[in-house]
Amino acid sequence: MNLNIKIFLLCPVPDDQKPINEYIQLKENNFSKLIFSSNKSYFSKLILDFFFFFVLSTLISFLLKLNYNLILFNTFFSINILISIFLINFLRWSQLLNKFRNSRLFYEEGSWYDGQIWEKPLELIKNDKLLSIQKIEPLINRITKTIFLIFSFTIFIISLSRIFF
Amino acid sequence: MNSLNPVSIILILNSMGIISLVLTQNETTKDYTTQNSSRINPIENLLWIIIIFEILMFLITGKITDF
Repeated sequence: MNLNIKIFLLCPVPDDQKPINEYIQLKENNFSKLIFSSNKSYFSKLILDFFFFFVLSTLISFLLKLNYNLILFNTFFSINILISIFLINFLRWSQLLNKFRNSRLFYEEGSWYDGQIWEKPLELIKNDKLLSIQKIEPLINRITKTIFLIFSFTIFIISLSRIFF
Repeated sequence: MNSLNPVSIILILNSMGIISLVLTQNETTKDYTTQNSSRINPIENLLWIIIIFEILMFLITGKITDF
């Protein structure tokens, strides 16, 4: 029997908990689709998202009748939302990376009270290692850099506001 | 204009440097596969050094002045 089919048949892990299926789900998720886009569209989408949240925060500030400096308030509001989006993505992808890296896979047989551990076969370990190095690590690297980019943009705005306001 | 202190200017320049460095080297997944993974890009090292410097400067500024 072909080894790949053997691994597929003998794997006791439910389909929704298999790392490869989780990877596909995350890849198709609208929440994390942004990370897969090309370099140019990635930053243009990021800027568009920023302006979308900026407009949204303007509406909120008018509804709540806030008396703060509106530009600063809106900027921090949109930056906070962007940072939280990227942090959630970072946590989800790093959790998936751990699942790919480990040779033992923890899964729930029936429900949360029925945890089991499955030892991955050598072929699958090699496959998962390759996938984690080639696909997931660069994504996590990209998310980390984007978080630092947003963080430095925040510091830039704070420093500018200290000079001009 | 409240305060034109050198720390604010350093922070502005530093953050501009970080933004430009991230914009130039934020690779897609496809590009990464063609790279030699064992070799670390020196510009990436520079980016991490600037980020650490920025965080330290920001913390020091926050400690000595009120935001």
